[in-house]
Amino acid sequence: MISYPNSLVRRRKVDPVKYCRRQFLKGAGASIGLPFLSSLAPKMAYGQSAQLIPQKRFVNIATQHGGVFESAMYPSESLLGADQSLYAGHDIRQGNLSASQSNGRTYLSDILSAPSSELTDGIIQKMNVLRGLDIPFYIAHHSGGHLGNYARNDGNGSDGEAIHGRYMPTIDQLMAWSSDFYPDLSSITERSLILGSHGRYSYNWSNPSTRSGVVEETPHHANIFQLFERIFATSDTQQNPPDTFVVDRVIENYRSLRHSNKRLSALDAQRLDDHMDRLFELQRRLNATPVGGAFCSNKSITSWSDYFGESRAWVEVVEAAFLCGSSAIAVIPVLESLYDQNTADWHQSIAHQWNLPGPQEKLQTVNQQVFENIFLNLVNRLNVPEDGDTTILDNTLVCWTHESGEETHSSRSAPVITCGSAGGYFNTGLYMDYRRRAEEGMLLSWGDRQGYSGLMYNQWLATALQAMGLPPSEWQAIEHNAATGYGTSNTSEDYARVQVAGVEANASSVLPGLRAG
Amino acid sequence: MSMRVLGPFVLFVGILSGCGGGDPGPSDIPADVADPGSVTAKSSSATTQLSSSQSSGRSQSSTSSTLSVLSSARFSSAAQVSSAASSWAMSMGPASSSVSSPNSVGGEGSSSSAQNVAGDIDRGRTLYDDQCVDCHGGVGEGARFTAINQNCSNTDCDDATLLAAYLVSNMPLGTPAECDEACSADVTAFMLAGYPREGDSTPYTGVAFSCDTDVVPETPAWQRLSKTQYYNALNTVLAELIGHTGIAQAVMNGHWELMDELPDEIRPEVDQDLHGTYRRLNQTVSLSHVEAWFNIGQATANALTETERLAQTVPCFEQMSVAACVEQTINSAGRLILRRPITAEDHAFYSAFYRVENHDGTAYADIFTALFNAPEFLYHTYHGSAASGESTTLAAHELANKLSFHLLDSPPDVTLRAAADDGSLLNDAVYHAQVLRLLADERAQTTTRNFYREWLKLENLNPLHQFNDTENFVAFSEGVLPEWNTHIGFMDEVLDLLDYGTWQQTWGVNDVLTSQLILPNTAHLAEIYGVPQSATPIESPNHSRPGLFTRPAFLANAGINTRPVMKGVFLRHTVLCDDIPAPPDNATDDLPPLDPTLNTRERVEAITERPGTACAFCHEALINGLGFATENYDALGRLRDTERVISGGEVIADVVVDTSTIPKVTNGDFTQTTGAQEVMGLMAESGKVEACVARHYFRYSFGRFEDVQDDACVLESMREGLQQGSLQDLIIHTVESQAFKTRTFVAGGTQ
Repeated sequence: MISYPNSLVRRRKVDPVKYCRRQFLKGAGASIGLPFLSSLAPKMAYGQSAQLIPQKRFVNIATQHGGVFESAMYPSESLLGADQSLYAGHDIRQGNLSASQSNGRTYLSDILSAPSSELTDGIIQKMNVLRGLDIPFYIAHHSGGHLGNYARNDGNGSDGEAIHGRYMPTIDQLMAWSSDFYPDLSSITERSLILGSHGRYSYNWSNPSTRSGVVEETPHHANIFQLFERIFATSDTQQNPPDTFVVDRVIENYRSLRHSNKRLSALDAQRLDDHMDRLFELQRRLNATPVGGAFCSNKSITSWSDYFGESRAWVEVVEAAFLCGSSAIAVIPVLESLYDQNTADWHQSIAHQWNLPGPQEKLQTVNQQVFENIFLNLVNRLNVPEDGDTTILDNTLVCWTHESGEETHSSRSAPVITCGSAGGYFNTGLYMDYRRRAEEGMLLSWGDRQGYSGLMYNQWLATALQAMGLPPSEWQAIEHNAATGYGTSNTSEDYARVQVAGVEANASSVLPGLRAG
Repeated sequence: MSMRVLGPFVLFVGILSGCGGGDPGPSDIPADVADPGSVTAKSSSATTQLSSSQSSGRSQSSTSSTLSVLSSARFSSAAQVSSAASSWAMSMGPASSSVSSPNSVGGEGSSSSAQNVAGDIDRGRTLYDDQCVDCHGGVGEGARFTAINQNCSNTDCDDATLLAAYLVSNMPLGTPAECDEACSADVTAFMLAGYPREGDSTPYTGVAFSCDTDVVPETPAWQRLSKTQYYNALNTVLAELIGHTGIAQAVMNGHWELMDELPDEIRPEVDQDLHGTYRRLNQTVSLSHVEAWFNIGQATANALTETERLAQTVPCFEQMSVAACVEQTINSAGRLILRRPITAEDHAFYSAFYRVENHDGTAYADIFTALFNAPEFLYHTYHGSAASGESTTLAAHELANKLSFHLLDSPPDVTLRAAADDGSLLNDAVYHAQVLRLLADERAQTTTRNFYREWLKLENLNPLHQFNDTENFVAFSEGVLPEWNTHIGFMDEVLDLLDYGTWQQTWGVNDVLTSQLILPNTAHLAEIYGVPQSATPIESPNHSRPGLFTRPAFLANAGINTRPVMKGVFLRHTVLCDDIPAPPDNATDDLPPLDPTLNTRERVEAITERPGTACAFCHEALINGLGFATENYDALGRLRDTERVISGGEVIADVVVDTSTIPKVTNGDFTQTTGAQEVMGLMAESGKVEACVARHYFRYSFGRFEDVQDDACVLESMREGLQQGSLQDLIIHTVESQAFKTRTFVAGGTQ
């Protein structure tokens, strides 16, 4: 019987931080070449000097489609143990991750495979593979769904259209603006790194400080060089930031207009409030001092010749930002089509033809490459000591999510692959199968590939939030959020038919089997 | 639960087999892709039964017995019901939809058939709203599915008998048992009475807008300057303060890295337009914006106050007392930068930025930094001229700013500022003269070209050269291999023709829809048209290109197949402004097998018009008819009579193309057409395109989506301007409308 924890975040107490190693970040080709000195370690936080715990970090790698056959995506079901009752009528399974080796490569599955030197047992034991997490309604092209804004979908289908108006902040931005996640912002120049050439993954209120205004997209950093400059403050202006007097007076200008007797609508006033909020954040940002100090301001990255190179550069920037303490959140959207430049309409010709042999092969090839080049590359880079025996990776939650399960645009059993224990919050090395593997759990009209229902993706999002220190009280009351879990509630009839009562009722709890301790 | 909300049409979808949602993909992809299998890429929603309470509300009134004839026959298909109902109707005499009493149809005094279809309008309204409105809209205009009148080929929607017969046997779609005879009679009564609802205004029909001058539309929040507008505003200020455009440009060039940090404008993909709307609707203000604005403002201020420029930018420096010079600087530079008259409060506020500890020009730098970061510089701030009231006209300087930024993406010039400062701009004649003056500025052509580009989604055309090295494409291209920028040439041709029509001719919508002019100014275009290259517009050979929508920019597709569905969707949604419901959840992407006997149209029909699927409703009524009309052009935009079916790098068949369609440009119009020329003619005759262009230009001009009710007055003015005049007249009518010259304070109250 798997216990089903309901406890909220318990802050872990650790020993004072020690740094004793000099390291070099590995850069392939477009190397950043960032020597890591003990004096450059990320600032510790959480108040009590003798009882610090490291800053937690969060990374979401979001694949645009998915559509990979479950047989290729997931490890063998033979790893899973016996059925264990979660709720009456809903059994689940749990197992330990175990890999096989062949020709110098290690395999958890066809997709979760890499050279054995990269996919080590140490990394595997820090991973979790979560199977059976569903967005329980039809939602296509939902780039916002990865992080909880289901309203960002294309309306292609009645369910998706029905929730169009219900925009919600994504969990990365809730973290970015939460003092529970960032108790100390003194080194944080970028609350979050939203990377990639295309956006629509990360959303927040226009005024995050007051959680007011419209929910809108958080701009993404399409230009990695610019982002690098921002993080490491090499521009003249950033090296010589404006003095407080000018910024303060500029803010005062907005405030005085906001409260003047000139006519403003409520929307105009919100505009001014939002602008002031940005100025406050700018002021905070300009005063932030990355731990690396001068050292971190003398970086450079070189160009790349292909998408793999660009992907590696993203990883390197995230790595550098985390190690310099400049940021602790990153979102890395992945357009699979960029890995396959020879198909003009990848979306139609490959993703939508997911169950034909040729396209499926391409889907598997690309997703394996994403695993190896982005996910595994990043977790290896973060797997450097931070605090005694723990590494930065240990204090991080890296998760790889897909839009779809094995059927493109079907959100049944969309895989969630994680690495890092989020500061000891999670048990790791686990293969969790949350599907209700009974005839009563079978979905009948869920696309071409029928399958078992599982737990709600909302619960995964709630789990991630809590692992990062944000209790339900911080997000449960957000407009359009579900009664439980994180993300708009909208359950299709088919799902409603097969779900047992506990699934939705407990969606704010941490996913079964994951909570450490 | 979603299914409860979504209504009966979706219930039907759940029990149907899947239907296709798109065009065939490029067939030069690997054979295993091109050879389709059974693909279901989208899932189905569940079937369910409405509870008995949901179908209640109907009354077993005296009308029920009159429907006994119909109740004896449950029809299994639309064809059956049509046939059976017609037979029945013939036996009973002609039907009537006359309303014999305020609340019933087919009561005393109606024809004999109507006596059998008596229904209660109020009950019908309740039932309609419960079971029909989600799919068909409040007045049958269409919502998730097509407008009711759009499918009246199956039954006569004006005939009470036939309509009731159709409803009782078919509606709600998939669960007709939920609406029995009495229910059908009531719904029929409600529909034929014109969907009456208390307080309803005249429904929008897609052509004229019904203006209600009492309606005060909402003004959105102050909009920020776009990146282009910001650049132009800064450049204008620099040029005027420095007194030398070249030096000003050099200063701007020195800021390119900082300017590059200002986020690029994107076309937001919004619920109303998932393929991207106008950049001007992108009003996000991120930290990156504010930070870039601050840094650029500071750098510009430093540049302005460098010693060698001080004589120009702060001419009173060392000529006057500090206090007097600060005042003069704020007066002159402030008026220019803030784009409004300077007040005593401004003097008090901005003079505090003077660095008393400095004794050179840098003492003024912070004043400029503050001015460049003022809300009046970064946003279009409109307070209006009246202290109260829901609607107020803009002050003269506000109007000048709005007009200039709208037409030129730049701040007012000296002449316009003068007209604002002396108030003469508020005189209609003066304003009109200023409008004409600004329209003659070449920058007006740039902003208008931007509108055309975004309206027609020309940027969505992908590069066409990816398949140049595939055997199928080589066989298809017959030597016309696109280059990396061929698609740009296609886009530019359309834009150049629109420029020509707008500024050198007096084109209206009809010209756009019917013009035979082509502009083969690239080698590829010349090859595609089969004419010599030309830098000026020429007539298409044999008048083979009716209207601009037969130019390659609207026909080309990266691959060897045309995409009639996407062509149809484009014309229906972007040019006619009709809503197209989202595909049902179980829409699939099945590709029918490559068949040497089938052309693309037939393959698409096989997917999308499969009998018994919900797909056919939209595809037949809204999409395919428009898309098939241009099937006599191939995927590079070349004219063709036959379609070459290609496999394995070989042409395996030539199949005749068919452009005959029933495009259903307007509701209930079943005119048969033979091809693009007649379809474009119908579109021109419909009046819908003028209304649609007006709606689009409204979005571009006002930075928001229109409300066809609340914004009807300005929309109607714009539409009339276009209908009676030219594309230029559309612009003039827009900027001279009352809506353009006013702002309102209805959203969220007044602060």
